Amino acid sequence: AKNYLSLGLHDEVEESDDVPFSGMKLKPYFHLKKSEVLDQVKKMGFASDYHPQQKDFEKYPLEDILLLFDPSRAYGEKIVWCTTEASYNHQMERLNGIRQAVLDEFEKENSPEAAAGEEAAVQDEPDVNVVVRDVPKECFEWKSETAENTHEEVRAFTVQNSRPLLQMMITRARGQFGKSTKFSDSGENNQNCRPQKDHNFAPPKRELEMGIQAVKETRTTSCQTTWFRPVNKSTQYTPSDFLQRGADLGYAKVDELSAFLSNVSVGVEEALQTNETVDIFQEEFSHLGEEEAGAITKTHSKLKEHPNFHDVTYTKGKRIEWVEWVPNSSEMVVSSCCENQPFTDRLENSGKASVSTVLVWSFADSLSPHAILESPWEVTVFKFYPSDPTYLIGGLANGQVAVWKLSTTDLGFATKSQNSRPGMEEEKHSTIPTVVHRQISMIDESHRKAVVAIEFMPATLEIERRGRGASEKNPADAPMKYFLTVAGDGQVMIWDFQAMLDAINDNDFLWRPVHRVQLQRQDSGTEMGLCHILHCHDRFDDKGTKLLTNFYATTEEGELILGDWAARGEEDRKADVVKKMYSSCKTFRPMQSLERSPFFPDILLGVTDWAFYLFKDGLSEHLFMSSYTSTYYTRGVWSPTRPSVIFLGLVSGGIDIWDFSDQSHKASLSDTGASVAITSMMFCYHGDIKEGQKLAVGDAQGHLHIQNIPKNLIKPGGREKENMRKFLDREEKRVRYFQERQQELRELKEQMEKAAMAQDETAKDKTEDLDKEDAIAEASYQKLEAEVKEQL
Amino acid sequence: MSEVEETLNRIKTHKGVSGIVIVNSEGVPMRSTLDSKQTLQYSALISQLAAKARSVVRELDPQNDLTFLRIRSKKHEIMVAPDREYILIVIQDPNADQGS
Repeated sequence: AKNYLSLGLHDEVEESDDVPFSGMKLKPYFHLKKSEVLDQVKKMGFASDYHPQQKDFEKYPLEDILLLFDPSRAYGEKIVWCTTEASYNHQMERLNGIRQAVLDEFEKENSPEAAAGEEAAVQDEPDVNVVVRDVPKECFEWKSETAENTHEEVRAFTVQNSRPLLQMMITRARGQFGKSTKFSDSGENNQNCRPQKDHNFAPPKRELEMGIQAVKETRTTSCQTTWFRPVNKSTQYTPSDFLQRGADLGYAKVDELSAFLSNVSVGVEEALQTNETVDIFQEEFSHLGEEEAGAITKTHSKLKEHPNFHDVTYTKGKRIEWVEWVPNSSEMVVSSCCENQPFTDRLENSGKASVSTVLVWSFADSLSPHAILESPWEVTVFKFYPSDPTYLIGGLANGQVAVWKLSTTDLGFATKSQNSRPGMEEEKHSTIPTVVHRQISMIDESHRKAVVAIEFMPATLEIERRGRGASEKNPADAPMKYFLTVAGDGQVMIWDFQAMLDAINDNDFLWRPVHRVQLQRQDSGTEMGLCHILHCHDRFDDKGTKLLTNFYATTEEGELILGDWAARGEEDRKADVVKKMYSSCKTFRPMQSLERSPFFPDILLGVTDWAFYLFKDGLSEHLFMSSYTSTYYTRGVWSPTRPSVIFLGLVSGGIDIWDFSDQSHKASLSDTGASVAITSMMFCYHGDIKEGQKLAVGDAQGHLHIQNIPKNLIKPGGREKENMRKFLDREEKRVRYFQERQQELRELKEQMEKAAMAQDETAKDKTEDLDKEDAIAEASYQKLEAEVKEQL
Repeated sequence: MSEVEETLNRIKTHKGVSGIVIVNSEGVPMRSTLDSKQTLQYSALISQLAAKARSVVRELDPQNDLTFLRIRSKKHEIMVAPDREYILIVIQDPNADQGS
């Protein structure tokens, strides 16, 4: 490039605006002398620019070399020169032509100026002096450069029909619709046509445009509270956070502390001494407050369980059917165990002989029974003979009655002094004395179903005329002679115990009932199975004579009946033993318990599965019915000391205690007596029942629990008996009132019906009258109307 | 120092005394024969109760002041002797055997 200056291609090396051909802007053409070129080549040799083309230079015919500056490199180089003459001429012509054109143009421009300058000198001035005038711009039509593009784009969004739409119609001959077609194999496509991938039609999706909106899972809610300040709910600390070891006795404080202690220690030591001398924990008030006939509080009222009798061999899995306390003893209990067998099993075993046991327990030994009474059948109920407690009468599951004679050892009376019987001790350790029954009733004459209740009749009673009547002949202190038994077969049998006693050692004695009565149902004629029986000792009829042959019994359908076994039948009717029937408690399930209140001899407690009833002798309806319970009752007993307390055993094993002085709509207290269903309950009437009462509770798994009754269930309130009596009287009044009221209502209803009947006849007349009235009214109205019209 | 110890020993040797705590007016225990957890409990609770009892007495009669406070519970008795700056708390169960 530096050589350009020397070559004359441009005038100045550096680019500047003043010189048109400067820098890289080379002159378009330039002439060079051939001789100069050749000279230069010779001088400089390889360094010369013209060396590579030296040969061409020598060939060149003309003298002038034309260098062309070719910025567009049409010939391949920036600077080219014409090598041949023809091209030289051609180029010169071209150049000259261009030159000429430029000159012409220049002259043309100048000449009109010169020409015009002569004509109008005035007009030159405005051209020479440019004056800027503020003229509002003229508005032209708006031309947009991109508008056309935009229109194209918009048009591209919609699809326009490039051709008219075609319509096609495909028809089928109507006759061919619905015709059955027959398809046959076509021989053409024997080969399977497999799907083939044609890449033209399955473009893989590389990019997908999709819009998604994400919704927050969180929600903001707020609520309002009236609390306004933070409260310290809990704190956790260790003592070392607070105990500053530095706060320990500083030596400065010793004096203060000793002064303080000397002041204070006097009083403290006094107090300490008084505490040592007087018993500070003695409760002064513990003996007060027992007279309140108030509510049973929970603190004192747990039934405390004393020993629990259970023997693996004899009682495991069995049901304690009946429990009795040994008379004259509060330490011995007798229980009978029956198998927990459903009916089908019993049926199977009914013909087989087995040995069943009645166990005598002593409190001294709760693991093994004191004595065992064996019986051929299960003992469902038993009672001690009141006049001589060595005899035990038991009713068996097959209907017979058996008697055992117990020795005094069995009854535990002689065991107090064990030392005096060293010999017996060894025996006791090894075997438990067993007693076999002495007498048993005749099987043909006995009940057909299990004996369920035994009741002794007062000693004064004497049955005569073959059971048709009874009279009070015997002296009051004679031994009891007769007892009643009932069973599910509906028979009430009277047995003579005395006769049996006389012949107890006689093996051929056939023990027969003295009298028997069959109870039957009125409606169905079937036998009325009985569950309990209570003899009415003191009932008087209208004339004042004592009724000796009445009894209360409960049936297997839950009713309570009052019966008379000495009832005499009419000529055509059978003896109606059942005098009265209380069917208000009919539950179609056997009555569970029937007990007479120890305080009110005319009040009976009847316990059914889900309610218990209080009956009064003489009322045809029950006095009181408890609310229905969710756990079924199994037994019920009156409390022996408190007139208004009833203990009920439940299916769950609990004991519900109802206290009528507290509340009569639900149990006052509920306690657990056993863990399985309670099957028998019996209070111990011996001993000081005001001090420590015991209740024997037998359950369905063979456990015999002895519960100690807490004090507040033993001690009656001050006016408890009166309150209870008032309650019962109130209930009686209510019952009577209801009955009267019902009677009244019935009568009223009858009257109304009669009146209604009478009214029916007059009703027809009435309607006729009404019609007549209507007609009259209508006529009068018409008249009125006519009058008015006339007036108008 | 020895006088303080002597007095405390004398109190400790009474029958059934199970613990002694000396608390200052701020409720910080100064001396104690119980373990730290019990000490802290007693000092915090009793000082509050003593303050409350004192305020009761003084409200009923402003000329009056609390001299002694005894809390008898089922298991033992807590004796609180307040002073102007300190409170002495002694716990005694007279039926218990003497054991330190």
